[in-house]
Amino acid sequence: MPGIKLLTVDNEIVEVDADTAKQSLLLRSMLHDLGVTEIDDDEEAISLPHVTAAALRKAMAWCAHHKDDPPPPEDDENARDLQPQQLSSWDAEFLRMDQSALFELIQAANYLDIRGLLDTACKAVADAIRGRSPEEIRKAFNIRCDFTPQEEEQVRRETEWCEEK
Amino acid sequence: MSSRTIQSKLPTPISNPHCPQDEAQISGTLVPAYISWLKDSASEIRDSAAQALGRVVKDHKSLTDGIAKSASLAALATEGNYQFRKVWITCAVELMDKGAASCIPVLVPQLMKLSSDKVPNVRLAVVKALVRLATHFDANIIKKDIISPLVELSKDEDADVRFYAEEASKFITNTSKMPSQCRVVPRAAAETQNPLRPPLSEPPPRRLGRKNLRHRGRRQSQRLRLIKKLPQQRVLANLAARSSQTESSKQASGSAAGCDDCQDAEDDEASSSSSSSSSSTSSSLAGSPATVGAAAVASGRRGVDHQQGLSDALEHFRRDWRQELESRRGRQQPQQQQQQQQQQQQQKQQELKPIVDSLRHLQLQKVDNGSDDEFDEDDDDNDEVEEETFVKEIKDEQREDDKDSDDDNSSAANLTSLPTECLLLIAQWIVGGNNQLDYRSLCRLASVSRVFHRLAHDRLLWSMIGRRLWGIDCATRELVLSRAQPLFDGVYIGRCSYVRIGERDIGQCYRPCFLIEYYRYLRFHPPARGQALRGRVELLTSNDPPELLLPNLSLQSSLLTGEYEYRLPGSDSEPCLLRCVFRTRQTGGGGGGVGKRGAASSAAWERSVDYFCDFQVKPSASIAALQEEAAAPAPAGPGDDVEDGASKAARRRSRLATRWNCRIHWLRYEMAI
Repeated sequence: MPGIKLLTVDNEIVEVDADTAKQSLLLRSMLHDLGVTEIDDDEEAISLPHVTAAALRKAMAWCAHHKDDPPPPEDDENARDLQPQQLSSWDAEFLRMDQSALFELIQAANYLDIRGLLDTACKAVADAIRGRSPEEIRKAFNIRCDFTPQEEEQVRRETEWCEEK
Repeated sequence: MSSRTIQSKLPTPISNPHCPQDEAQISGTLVPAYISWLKDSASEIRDSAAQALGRVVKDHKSLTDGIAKSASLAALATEGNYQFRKVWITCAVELMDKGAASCIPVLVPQLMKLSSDKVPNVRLAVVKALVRLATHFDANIIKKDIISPLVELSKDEDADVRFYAEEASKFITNTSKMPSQCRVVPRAAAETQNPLRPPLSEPPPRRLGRKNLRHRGRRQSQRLRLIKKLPQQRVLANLAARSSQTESSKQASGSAAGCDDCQDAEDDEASSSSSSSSSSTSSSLAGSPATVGAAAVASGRRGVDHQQGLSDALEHFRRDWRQELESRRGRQQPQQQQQQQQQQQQQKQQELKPIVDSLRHLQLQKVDNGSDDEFDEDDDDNDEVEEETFVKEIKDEQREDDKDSDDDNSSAANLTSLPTECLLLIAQWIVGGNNQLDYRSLCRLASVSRVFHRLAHDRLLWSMIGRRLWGIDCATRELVLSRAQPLFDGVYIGRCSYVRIGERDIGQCYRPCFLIEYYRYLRFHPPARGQALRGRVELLTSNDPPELLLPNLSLQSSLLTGEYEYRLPGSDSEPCLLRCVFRTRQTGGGGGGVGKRGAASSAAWERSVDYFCDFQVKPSASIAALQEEAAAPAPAGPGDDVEDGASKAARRRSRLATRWNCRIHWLRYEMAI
């Protein structure tokens, strides 16, 4: 299967394998809707806003590795199963990147609608957040506390019980 | 397709005896297509279409009037978007410059109407048009239509407009004085007359840039455009492929001056109408000799990169600057004192100032360079706009920094820059990801920042938690937090102790006492999916203190696994009664008893004993042991002690009841699955 060309937001054309790209529900339905059956070389690149070239490459690497996985069950958003599972060693190694790259990857997975990658990456972020104090979270993710003093006091009272051991 | 019907009503031009068929075909098909392309969303298409119209009227002068009077063309001059008004001016210049002179009385009044346009870019285009067309006007029309608006324009607030207005008035007075046919090249003359432009005393007022327009409706239309783009490009590519004339490439590279393919893509209505019209005309155009222009347009769409030098340098500078800003933000640590922040902001402003100034300087230089070449004028104009918007961007960044504190990071490395649905998914993973139903972490998240506060109160998350816990669908945060129930994200620890009296040693006068301490660990697992109000529980009795034992709690082999069950208490103040059942297997007899009882106990026996532990969970989630008993009185094993079974059970019960006779502490502990 020949590759399709994707134009990323930073104006780079990335050529990806069409079979791999079909793990992205967005690309799959787009190719299907446009009735693209054979792909010729002078085809215009499909432009992908929100997706950077680095994130796209990463996402496609993930898709290539997971292309034999069973497709995720088609269920509705609310009842979606969050299967608690340990990351496979490949995934853990794959997700070893700096935060901004990880967030770009999440955005790309969200936009391209790659369910498995989105879950994996979000789980990685969730694991980094869980069990940390608010101050640690702020520091780790470079978040500014934008509460006013009154609000802060109110929130502190709300969440007081969390801090007891 | 209104343009098509209007065109078909036009009188058939007959002045050109060589190819009357061609003219009919051109006025019927090509001209409407060009006019519709004037409204394309990409500026190079619009410009190419305008220039193509110029070529059409150059070859077929008789068509000029028809085009000039076309209603759809005139409508462009009053279009809301200034880009279209500008393209109308380009088009009018082409018609008057290359077409028959009879169109001038039609177009000039419209052109001069635009001299009072509110957008400086349009006024600038008007005066530039006057400069270029100065030699075409006769004294009558100058006196009647041009002079008074030109005087107004020479007082314009925009310095560039003033400059060109002066130029134009010089040419126009020159030409009206000497009605000879000699064509002065206006720009060259301008160079000789005014080699040094006086430097601008103040920066020109900001013109509308495409940046401002691009913001509008971009997000919604992205996917739409994504889909739409492909077929449109295919049609244009087909057009290009059909024309085999070598001239096309020459013209294309000449006309397609813009290179920024994505510019001005904000008007999706325009692009959709142009795509439909282009596809409808493509069939009628097949084989026509005039496809050259269409091919030029098509290759213009492909974006021949023409801009070199300064624009490249600017692009580099922009990229570097953004990186610099980002890295600077990254370096700055959150500051507590406001004073320090203010100092830093002032410093930052000072740092920014030379850059803004130098940009302005660049801009001035750019305007100067702009007077060198004639045809790329419009592109320079675009560049100016871009530069201005970039200056504006920098200023906006400055202003944002003024408003917010300096560690506010809008770059990609900020968690809050993720879309809400991603944050929600992350929160779902925080709660349910490690099978602990960890809503305590979720509540802690609320005190991080406002975004997370909202996130932590999301109804979706809490109803998910309620469904897991109690199997009800409409649980809210208040309900989950107020009702008494065991916690799942840690262990309950009871430190138990008893005193054992030791034996007296020889030579000692008192019997030693030993205080024996041990710990009982109780860990509840959240209800499994679809199994509300009941779940797995683990009990471990150990001498090891928590700090020693907890890191590998799940590895302990002596864990006693059971099940717990509880009811959702009716009100907030009611405690929750919770019963745990542990089933143990006891074995006896067999080889184990050989040494003790000899051959008497040869048969092995096995029995299971259920322990019940009742607990009371208070609304504060603290837990108290009520009682503990071993039910299912052990059947006497064969050959076992002759002691009465009932009395033995009673003895055991009294012993067990003391076990939990201690305060049970809750210890939150991060555990692996």
